[in-house]
Amino acid sequence: MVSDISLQLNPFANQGGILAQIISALMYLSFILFIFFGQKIQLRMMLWEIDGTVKKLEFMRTEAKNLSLKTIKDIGKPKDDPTPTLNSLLEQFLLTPVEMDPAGIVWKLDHILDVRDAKFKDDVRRIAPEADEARLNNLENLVEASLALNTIYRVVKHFYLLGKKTSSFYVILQLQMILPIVMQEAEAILGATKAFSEGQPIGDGIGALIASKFMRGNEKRKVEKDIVVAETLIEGRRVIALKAEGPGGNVGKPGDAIRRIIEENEGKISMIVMVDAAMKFEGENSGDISEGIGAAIGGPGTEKYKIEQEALKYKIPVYAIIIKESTQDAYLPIKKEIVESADKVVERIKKLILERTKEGEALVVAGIGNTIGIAQ
Amino acid sequence: MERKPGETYLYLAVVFSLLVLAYSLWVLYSSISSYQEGQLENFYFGIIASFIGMGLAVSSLAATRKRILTIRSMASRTLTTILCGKCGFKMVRLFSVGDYIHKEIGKCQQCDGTMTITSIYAEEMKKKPR
Repeated sequence: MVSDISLQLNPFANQGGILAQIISALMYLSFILFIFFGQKIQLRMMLWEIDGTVKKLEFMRTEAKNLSLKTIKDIGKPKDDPTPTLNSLLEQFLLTPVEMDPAGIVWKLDHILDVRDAKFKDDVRRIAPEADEARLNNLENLVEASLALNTIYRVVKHFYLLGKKTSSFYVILQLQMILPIVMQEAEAILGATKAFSEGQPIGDGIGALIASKFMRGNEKRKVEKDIVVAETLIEGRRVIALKAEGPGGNVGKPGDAIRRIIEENEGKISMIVMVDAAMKFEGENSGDISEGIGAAIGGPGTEKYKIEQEALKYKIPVYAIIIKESTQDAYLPIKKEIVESADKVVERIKKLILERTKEGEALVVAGIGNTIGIAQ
Repeated sequence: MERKPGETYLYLAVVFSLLVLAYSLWVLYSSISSYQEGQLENFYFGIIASFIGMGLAVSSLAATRKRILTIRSMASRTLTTILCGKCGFKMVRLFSVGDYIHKEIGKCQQCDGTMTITSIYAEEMKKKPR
């Protein structure tokens, strides 16, 4: 009976030759192999696929490092070879404060971030002594992008080798599941390195670009760390616009700046409008605009906390206008459709100002994001 | 124009896939000849081998095509728009290192107004007109 079925399924069986018998045997053998070793075979295939990705990440990391090195040599004109210092910068890490007692953790983290930023900038300045302030900021961004790629490569390689060593299906499976998203981010960071090396504006800078449109032609002053402020009048309302100091790559500390402005005005600020790039959902268009409530600012959360604290203290409403972008758009040179949204956002802010404030009142417009390639 | 190492790999993959496809077609032709000569074992073997080969070659070509399209769509150029604040004369050129938004870059060609960089943006490379 079984042999009858196999004869019907196998066209070679009728030929009766050795080849037909070998093929039949192979078919049964592969069936049995898949029953007993299916998961092992799947594991090997996944490892093979991850191995290719790890090699790709290694290539990307090397590309970013070489570009950093070339730019440092071109702009910074170091007397000694910057490679050892760059290698040490690419391995740098930050230890976050202990979370067991969360009271005061924001200020602890803020302090650690300040120390880290200062040290990082000093280290970059040491290997690029000839770079001016704006270019130094761009170089700092470039080295940070290389550091991010190096970290991604090291983490992915760690889990790949761990999965391989332990033959753990679940370690490998988890890694394989998140790899497409990790690779998207890595490719975007690699794209950003070119923008940072040449000082091109990136998608994340749209908030700074919009704020700069309010600041253009008005007297500017520097407040807090790397933040510039300018005042303008819109229909009798005093608009205090702020952004990170450009055109070098910079995000500054908008939280501290907003706190300072509120204190300078003795709390008499009628509203805060925050403009920032935000992650779009798949299917949405880059450059679409959305309005909301709350502090629109990313990062580790310290600046957001400061703004929320001040807003609560003086009961100031915080409005957010976001410009939708993908992760890649945020890292890569700014797209035309995102730039074109800037004037629309300016109009929306003006409308919001007229609707929500009265003549003679003061308000803050904060452009959040990396201001590389955007002056004020 | 300088070719990137990744592109060389893609072209090699295309050439290899085409070679596999050509060989598979030859095996298919041979197997049909075997059928006409009554060698059924060779016919079946040839048919299976040629179909596997053709399938792999077509799949590889399709994957390579997808990759080439992705690379082409990623290619972009960055443009700088310069505007005269007085007469509105506008100029668009390729981005050059040192450009930044709101940078004043000199006098206008049409009037004595100041030319300022008003925007810098990336644009996808358009296909060359045929």
